[in-house]
Amino acid sequence: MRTHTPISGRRARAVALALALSASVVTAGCSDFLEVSNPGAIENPSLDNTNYLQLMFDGVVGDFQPAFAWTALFSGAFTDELRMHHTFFENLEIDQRRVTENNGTYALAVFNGLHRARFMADTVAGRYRTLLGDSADADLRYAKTLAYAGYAYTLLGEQICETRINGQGTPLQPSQLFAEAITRFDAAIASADEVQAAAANIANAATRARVIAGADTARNLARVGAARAALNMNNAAVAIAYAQAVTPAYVSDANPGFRFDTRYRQGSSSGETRRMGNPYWEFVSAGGSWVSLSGTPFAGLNDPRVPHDSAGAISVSSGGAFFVPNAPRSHSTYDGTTTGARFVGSGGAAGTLSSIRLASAIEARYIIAEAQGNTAANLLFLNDQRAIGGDLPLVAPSDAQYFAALRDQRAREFFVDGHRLGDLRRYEAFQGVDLWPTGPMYGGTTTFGDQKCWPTPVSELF
Amino acid sequence: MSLLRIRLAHAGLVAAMLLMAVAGGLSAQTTGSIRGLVVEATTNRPLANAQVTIVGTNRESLTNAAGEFLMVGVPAGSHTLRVEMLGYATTEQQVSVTAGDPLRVTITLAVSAVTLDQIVVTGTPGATSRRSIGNAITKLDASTMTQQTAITSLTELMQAKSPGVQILPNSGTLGAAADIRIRGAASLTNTKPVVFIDGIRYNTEDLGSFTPSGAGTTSFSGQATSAFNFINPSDIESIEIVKGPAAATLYGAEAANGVIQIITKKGSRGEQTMRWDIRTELAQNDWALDIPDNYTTCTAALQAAVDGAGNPIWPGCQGVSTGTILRENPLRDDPASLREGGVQRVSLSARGGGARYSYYFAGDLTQENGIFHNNYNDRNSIRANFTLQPNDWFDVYMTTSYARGNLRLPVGDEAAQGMLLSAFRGRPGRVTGNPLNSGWATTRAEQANAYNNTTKSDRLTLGTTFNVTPFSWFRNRLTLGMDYTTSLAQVLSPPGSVDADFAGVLSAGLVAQRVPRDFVYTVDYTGSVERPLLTDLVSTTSFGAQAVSRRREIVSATGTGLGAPDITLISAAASTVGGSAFSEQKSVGFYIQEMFGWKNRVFLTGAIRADDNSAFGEAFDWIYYPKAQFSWVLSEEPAVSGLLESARINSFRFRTAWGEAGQAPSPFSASQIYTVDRAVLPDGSVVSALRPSSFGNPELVAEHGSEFEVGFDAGLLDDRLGVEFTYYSKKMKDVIVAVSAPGSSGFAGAFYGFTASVLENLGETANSGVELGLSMSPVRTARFAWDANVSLATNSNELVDFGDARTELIVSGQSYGSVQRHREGYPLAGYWFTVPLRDASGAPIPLTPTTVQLDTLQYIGPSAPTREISFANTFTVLRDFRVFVLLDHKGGHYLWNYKEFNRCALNQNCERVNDPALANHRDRPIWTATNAHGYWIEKADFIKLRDVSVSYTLPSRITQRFRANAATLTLAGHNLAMWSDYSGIDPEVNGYGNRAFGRADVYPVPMLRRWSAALNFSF
Repeated sequence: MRTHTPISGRRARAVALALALSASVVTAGCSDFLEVSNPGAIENPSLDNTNYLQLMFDGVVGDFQPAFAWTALFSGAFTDELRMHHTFFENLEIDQRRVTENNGTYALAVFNGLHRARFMADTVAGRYRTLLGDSADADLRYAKTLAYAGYAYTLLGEQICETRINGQGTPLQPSQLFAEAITRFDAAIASADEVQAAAANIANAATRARVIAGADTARNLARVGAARAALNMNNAAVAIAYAQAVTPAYVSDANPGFRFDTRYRQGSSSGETRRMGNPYWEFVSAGGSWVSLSGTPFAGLNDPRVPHDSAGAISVSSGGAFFVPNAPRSHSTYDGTTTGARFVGSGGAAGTLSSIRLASAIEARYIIAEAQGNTAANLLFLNDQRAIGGDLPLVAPSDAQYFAALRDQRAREFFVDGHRLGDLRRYEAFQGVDLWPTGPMYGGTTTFGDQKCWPTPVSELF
Repeated sequence: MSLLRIRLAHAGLVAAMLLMAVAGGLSAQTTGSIRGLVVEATTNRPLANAQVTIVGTNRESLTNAAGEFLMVGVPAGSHTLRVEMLGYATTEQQVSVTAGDPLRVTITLAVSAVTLDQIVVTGTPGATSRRSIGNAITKLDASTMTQQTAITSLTELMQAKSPGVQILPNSGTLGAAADIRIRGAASLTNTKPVVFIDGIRYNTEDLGSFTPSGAGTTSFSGQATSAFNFINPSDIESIEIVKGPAAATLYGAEAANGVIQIITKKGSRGEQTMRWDIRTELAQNDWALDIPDNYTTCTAALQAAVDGAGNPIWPGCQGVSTGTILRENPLRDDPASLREGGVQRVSLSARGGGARYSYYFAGDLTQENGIFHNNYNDRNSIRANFTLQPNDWFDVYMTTSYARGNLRLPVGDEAAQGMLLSAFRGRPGRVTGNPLNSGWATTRAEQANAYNNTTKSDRLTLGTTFNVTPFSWFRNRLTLGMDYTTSLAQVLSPPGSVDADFAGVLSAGLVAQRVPRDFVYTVDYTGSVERPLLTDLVSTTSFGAQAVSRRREIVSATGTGLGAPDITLISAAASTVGGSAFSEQKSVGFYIQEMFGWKNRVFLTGAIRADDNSAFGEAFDWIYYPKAQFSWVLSEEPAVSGLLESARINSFRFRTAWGEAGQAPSPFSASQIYTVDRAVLPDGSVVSALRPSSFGNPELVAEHGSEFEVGFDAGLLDDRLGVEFTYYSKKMKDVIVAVSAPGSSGFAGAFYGFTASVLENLGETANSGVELGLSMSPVRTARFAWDANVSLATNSNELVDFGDARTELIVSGQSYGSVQRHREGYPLAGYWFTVPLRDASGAPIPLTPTTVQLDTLQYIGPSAPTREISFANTFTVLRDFRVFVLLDHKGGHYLWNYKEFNRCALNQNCERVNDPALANHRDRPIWTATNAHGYWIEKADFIKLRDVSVSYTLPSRITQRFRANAATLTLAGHNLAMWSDYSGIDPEVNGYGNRAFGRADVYPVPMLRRWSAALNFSF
């Protein structure tokens, strides 16, 4: 047992006072002490600042472009365009159309990305309106932001079975998503008109011309998008109206008219730079590919719009003799040959520079051809397209023959650029044609599932 | 406080301390000396590191390796010597010192399995006896363990030594970090205990190494690295493990997973001598377990298969008859694959002290090579610990340690370029791509060996502790500390050093560097007031405040396309990219505790702690954690002591405790934030662009854990059998779960370069189990003694409730199948899958040629052990020989044997699907089924012969030739044998070592066997 020194009252009071003072100082300093810095963050309220207008617009582009590219790639595997050889089971689910709500690959590659693009476009458009008031309409960035928003909604409508917006409310059906898209496209067109009108006041001729060209691009981008959305709503008249307004229009393969590409560069599998790259190089590379055309209706077409190597020229993860796709028509590295240019060469990542076509006059022309049907002008257009792949022209085809041929040519023209899933859904819904692959898949080891749109991921369920 | 200021302050204190020490040493008085020997009763074996103190003074000494101690300058007169040592009963002996006359004494310590009066570090100042604490604390005698085994790291030191402490090592790759869990996993985001070293918060974060499971700089699985092992095990005196919230009230808002207190060695005041210890060790690591062969059965289809150019894909099957079986083992047959990794270690220490000071200096050089040619882990460290006591009411302890690590990691785990993946998936007779890779699946050993992933780290830990005792009833302790770690992680691949098919980005030349810097600052004040209230009732009031600040800064850069092999500068690369990251977290807490002690045998304690943390959301401020403890030494109660003695129970203590502790969320998790990233505009220019970064959760609060435990400590059969039993029940509420932000929110993660999740307080987890420790001395004679320790622990883990509509979460990042789920009513990260359906005869039912029919999803079992048993034996023969044997069992859990699933079902190169004798085996359709994952989730029970060592203390006639006090030769083996029904190589491995819960056998390196020989000299 320890002995205890009697407590001196004076000393005890002094000690108690010292402790109390210390505690007061420490407590008072707590709130300051707990302040931490985060140099990598911009808090939400800080964005209500006109200094951030350009940063926000660039963010719209920065999130849309990878979302579009990754959606194009993975929807290719989900539909009949590509066969997925990657051995991770979530990729196989996608290939088989048995995607569960827990499939993180799909969520990360398609659903989340499209919503990031949609959210950024919507929220930046809102901030422009808040910060600039009505003058936002005369800002070209605002017009383009609205067009990107329209495409994000259009892609969501084509891809996803149904989806909430911003984690709230009742899920919107595709027709509602397309309607939302058209609203934004219309606003984009109106804004582009304002931009063009305001450009008349720009004294510098070069600047004025650049602004007017930008307004043209924004307007055409929105027109093609609106036509695409309207077609998916089976609203032929509206689709035709938007499509016919696209200028310069498609004339011929040599004179294709308007085209707008999403741009990529420096893609690599590490860090942030992946967001800037065209993902096809990761999945179709000389060192070993994760996707092929083998077993799909796109193998062996001998069509430059669907180019591929000879079987086995590039190994795939599971080995064997497979047809590996090369840069198709929609990619800027398209070379017009039936073998095509590889997405990436053996010496580097050149393929990551390949841009992907987002909107074009030829798409507007295809929309017209589908919405108007079997007319003489459209048959002429169709036969021109058939000639690219070496097919003979159709002569007085029936409507069924016409639409079958049109579907075939459209599939080739827009190969792996994100159109196919929306097309298959539209054909089934409005043309009564089911082109989804069914039954045994690829050698008979398993069968295709029956999904025809991407499901709602688990993150949306709680 | 800046690093520079702390260093300057530290240097100043060192100088002041030395001056005071010199001054203290100059004082002269009428004194004598005590030269003593401490030996073990019965065997007369000298006992090293026994603490000898003169009662009522601050004089103390430690015995050297020969069991000797010396105290000089002892005032003449009668004194009481007290000798304490872990595992022995404390002994006191009266001595009489005559001025100028050396006194010689021999003190005998009896082995005691129960040490109620053992002093433990609990967070309060002054000496705290174990008898007064209501919860279980394990105290490991690290000093002895490092002497008699082949331990090279802190992780190995703790392995299988304490009931309830799970060490899950994950991989035999040198430098790979282990998972440490105390009393099971309670949190879904962080299961790590908090570590303190001499009262300073010790950083256990990842070193920032590039994940060794991907070529280039990708990372998706693999092993974490850790600063945890940046301490020389020989510097550790003891380790105390505080298990859970009941005791963690003193440690704050991050202690819900338990606390590990590391106490380093110190000198002893009053010794007036210097002791030197030198240890040299040579060892060898090797792959001791089976290496499975690869098989190919040549079929007509294989013989006919050709590539696009018409060349046979299976040249090995050409010209042989159909049905020929080819057999290869690239790992065993290719001399470039595996090696025997040498280990060299030298450590040197000196300790001693004067009348008013003590010191401990130590340094070590360790070079350890793994079984791959590109795996090594070197560590150099120095340590200086000073204690200065200028007067009886004040002392200051200063510790300084510096460690330098040099780690090289091989590419491994589920990386396509990993040597083990390539070897185990190899298909004899097949050539795809480069013919040089024949026999391997992806790449050959030579290429894998060229992978150059290094991490050079520096760690500086500074700490100063002031103990102020202005009155005998009032004690104060203030600890200031800083732990600073910085690394240079680098992946370097000169152009042309690897084939393009190894990894294109590497073959073009790549240098990637990452420099993380971790700062951890600790300020810890605690005081206690002890007052007698009644004759036998003592009140001890403790109070304190702690502040911990942690900051991590990372700068990284990558250059690709190096022009020439000699160029390794990032700035010279054709393409460069850089980045930086930052995180910071601060916590502050206060506590007050009241303990009442009745006749030094009944103790009742109550306490409450208040914490605040920078990561808490706006809707949350202070959090409070109460605790209560009760301890009753029944064997000292006159009313029951007779009854206990009649049952040969010498000592018996009942204890129970209840308490709460918490765990703060990760930094910045409450705020919704954007950041800036790069983007390509349609004109091709690259600009800075806004992007959503974190959804944030302003409602986020700390996890709140409560724990109840009850148990007893007993000494039986003259204290030759010690029993420590504890039952615990731990619940964690407001469990923080990282869930994906709603995909439609715009803040959810995407596939191109970042992931974003949101932390939510969901649900509740529960852990319960028993812990039993038995300490025995079954045989104790002068010529032979057998001491044994049995440790048994069980853990029942359950996710009780998510707290919302969901019933499960898939464990993220399982590339080869969602086999693990967090599901309500079941253990966290339990294994779930659809097992094959069987007909009435038990045969599987084929679905397609490569699939079988599956049952509905079902629970298979837990992924973490539910029981652990270790059996440690020390045999002392003829006083100078000691044999140590440690058996380690873990069981009750399962492991996803993906490697064998892949070999059999996907590659069809495993033995069982190629053995003609098994062609008609009932389960063969399952072996080749691509959908029968559940079949390969196997029981992972094992018993390992973890350590065997033989130590021999050389006769004094030999040691005296070297002027040494003692010399010990130790031959030791680690991971020598294994017994398990698991069909993979090693059930301890986990290819997802860098994740909290994912566990799968995806080609990690099995645990290495190590043989070592060590020689210890003490001077």
